Amino acid sequence: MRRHLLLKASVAAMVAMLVSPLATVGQEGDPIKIGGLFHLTGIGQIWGPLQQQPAILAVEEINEAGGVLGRPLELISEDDETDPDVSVQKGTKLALEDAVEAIFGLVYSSTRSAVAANVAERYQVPYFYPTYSEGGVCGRYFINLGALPNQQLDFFIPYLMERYGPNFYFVGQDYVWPQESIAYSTQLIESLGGNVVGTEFVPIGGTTDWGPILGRIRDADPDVYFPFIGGDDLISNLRQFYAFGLNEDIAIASTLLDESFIPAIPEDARAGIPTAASYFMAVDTPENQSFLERFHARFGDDAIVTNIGEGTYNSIHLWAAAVEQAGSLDKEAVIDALPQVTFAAPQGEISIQEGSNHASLRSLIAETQPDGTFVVLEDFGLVEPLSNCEI
Amino acid sequence: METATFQALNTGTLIAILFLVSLGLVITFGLMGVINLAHGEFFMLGAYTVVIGSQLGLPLIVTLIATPFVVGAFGMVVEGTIIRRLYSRPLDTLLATWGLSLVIRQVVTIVLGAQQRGTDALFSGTVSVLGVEYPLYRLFIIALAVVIGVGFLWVVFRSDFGVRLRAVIQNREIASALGVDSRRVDALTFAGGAGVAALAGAIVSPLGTVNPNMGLPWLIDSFLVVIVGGDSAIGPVVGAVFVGGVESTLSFFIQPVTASMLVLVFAIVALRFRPQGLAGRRRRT
Repeated sequence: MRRHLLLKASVAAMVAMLVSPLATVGQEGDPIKIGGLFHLTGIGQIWGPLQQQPAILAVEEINEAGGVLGRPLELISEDDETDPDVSVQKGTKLALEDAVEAIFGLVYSSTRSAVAANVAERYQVPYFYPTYSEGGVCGRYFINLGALPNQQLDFFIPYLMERYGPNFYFVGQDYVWPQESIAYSTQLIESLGGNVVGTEFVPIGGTTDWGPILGRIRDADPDVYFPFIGGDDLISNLRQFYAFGLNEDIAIASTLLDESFIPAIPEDARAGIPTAASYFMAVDTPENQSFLERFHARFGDDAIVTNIGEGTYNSIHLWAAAVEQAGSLDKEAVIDALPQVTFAAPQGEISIQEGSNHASLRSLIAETQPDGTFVVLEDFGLVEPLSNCEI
Repeated sequence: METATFQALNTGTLIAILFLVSLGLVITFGLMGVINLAHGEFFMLGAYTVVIGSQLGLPLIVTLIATPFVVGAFGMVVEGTIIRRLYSRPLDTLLATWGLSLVIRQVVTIVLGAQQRGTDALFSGTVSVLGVEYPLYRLFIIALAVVIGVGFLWVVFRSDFGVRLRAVIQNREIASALGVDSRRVDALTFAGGAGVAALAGAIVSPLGTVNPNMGLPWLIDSFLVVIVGGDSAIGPVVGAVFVGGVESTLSFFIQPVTASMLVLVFAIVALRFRPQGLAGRRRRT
C-alpha cells in the first residue's frame, strides 16, 4: 500500500515535470514576442535608434494598457549592421529561434527587400516596413507603412518646380531606392515640362570627398539639388555642399532632410529647406501632442522622432489592433484583420489598404525654421497608396 | 579656365588628404615593416580626441595640436605591450593589430556610443582662387600636407633621430652594437605613426562625420597609397599623387562608381610593372 502511493506520487511528479514546460507555452500572462530589426551600426546607424525608440514606446504603451489579448508584449531588438545579409540572418533568428509574431523596422531598401523575401515570405511572419521608399515589394507577409512615391514625390516635385524652377540635379547611392526614385522623379519632372540637368550615382558608403561631384553640380547650375544619399554619406555631402557655398545659388531639397539630418546643416543656412513626409514633429494633432509628451518623458527632451520612427510606432499599434480584432495570434488571421482596423496615429488616422497591404498615409510638405524645427506648409490629407500590388 | 582651376584644386585636396592619411601607415609599415591594421582606428581616435576636446570646451587649435601627442602616447603603449613582442613575426602582427582595431572600435562604441558626431572646421567660408570660390578649409588641408610632408622628410633625412631611425631600418643588430637604442627608436617611430594618423583624423573629420567605424575606408585607401607608392620615405607622396590624381581626374569625366573601380585597375597595372611600388626600394626576399 505504502509502496503503491510512492509509485503514484513519483509517476505524477514525472508527468508534471514533462508536461509543465509545454503547459506554460501560450499561458496567460506570458509575454508575446515581437521582433525589431534596426540599423544600430553600419552606414545607416543614424536611423537605427530613430526607429528603436518609438518601437520601445509603442510596446510600453500597449503593455500599460493591458497588453495584447491580455498578455504583455516583449520587443526583441536586433542590429542588422545595415547589411542585407545580416538582416536576413537576424530576421531568420527572430522568426525561428525567438518565434516572434511579427517583425518591424529597417530603412535601407536593400535590407527591406532581403527581409521581405527571405524571412517574411519564407517563414510566413508578417514584416512591417515603416520607411518611405520606391515601393515595388509586394507580398502577403509584407506590410508597408512608409510613403510610396505617389504619397510623397507626386506632391513634392511639383511644389519644388513651382518654388525654385524647372532644373533638377540628382545624386544617388548606387542601389534600388535612389535608382527607382530618380527614374520616377525624372519622368514626373519631364511630364511637367522641367529638365533633369544631371544624374549620377556613387557607391553606398565610403564617399569621403564630394569635390568632383559638387564641381559638376556647380557647372550644371540647376535650380534644385536633390540628393538620394542615405545614412552617414548624406552628412558629409551636406557639409561639403555648404562648405563650397553652393547653397547661395542652388536650392537643396530632399525627402531625406527631415529632423534627423538638419543638425548637419550649418546653423545660418537652416531656414527654409523644404521636405516632404507623412509625419513631422510639428504636426498639429492632439494625438501627436500626447505622443510627443510621452516620447520626451521617456527618452529626454532632446530626443527626436522622424517619419520613419512614427511609422515604426504606428506599425506596432496597428499590428496589436489587428491581433485584438482577430482575437488570436494566428498569423493568417492577424494579416486578414489588418485592413479592418485603424489607428489614430500622431500624423492622423491611418489604415491598411485591402488587397495591397500598403498603408494610406498623410502627405505633408514642411520647411525648416532657423532653430532647426519644421513648420508644415502644405497638407494634402490622407493619400491612398498606388502600389500595383495584388495579393 | 574656371573649371580647370576648380578641378586642379580638387585634385590637390584629394592628394593632400590621401597623403596625410597614409603617412602614418608609411611610418609603421614602410619604415618599420609592421603591417598595422589598426591604422584606421588611430585615425578615428584622432577625430574623437577633437570631439572630446570640444565637449570639454578647449579651443579647437589647442586640441588639434594636442591630438597627435595624446594618440601618439597611446601608440607608444600599444608598441610596448603588443607590437614589440611581434617584430620577428609579421603575420602575427597582422592578426594582433586587426584584433586591436576591433577592440578599439568596440570600446569607443561602448564608451562614447555609435551615433554620429561632427567636428568643427578650423576655418569656414570660401575664398576666391583665380576666379573660383573655393573652401578655405580645403586650402588649409593642402598647405598643412605640404608642411607635414616637408617636416617628415626633414626628420628622416636631416635630424639626429632620422639618422638613428635609418640605421635601425638598415641593420638592427649593427645599429644596436653601435649604441643606438633600437627599442627607443621603435617606440618613438610607432608613436609617431599613430600620432600622424590621429592628426589626419582630426584634420579630415570636419569634411565628413565622426563615428567608430570611420577609419575603415581610410585604412583601405592608405594601403592602396602605400602599396602603389612603395616603402620609401617619398613613397606616400608618390602614391598619393598617383591615386589622388587618377581618381580625381577620372571622376571628373565619368561616374564616381566607375572611377573608383578604374583607380584599382590602374594601380594593378602600375604594380605589374613596378611590383616594389612606384618609389619603392627593391624588396629584400
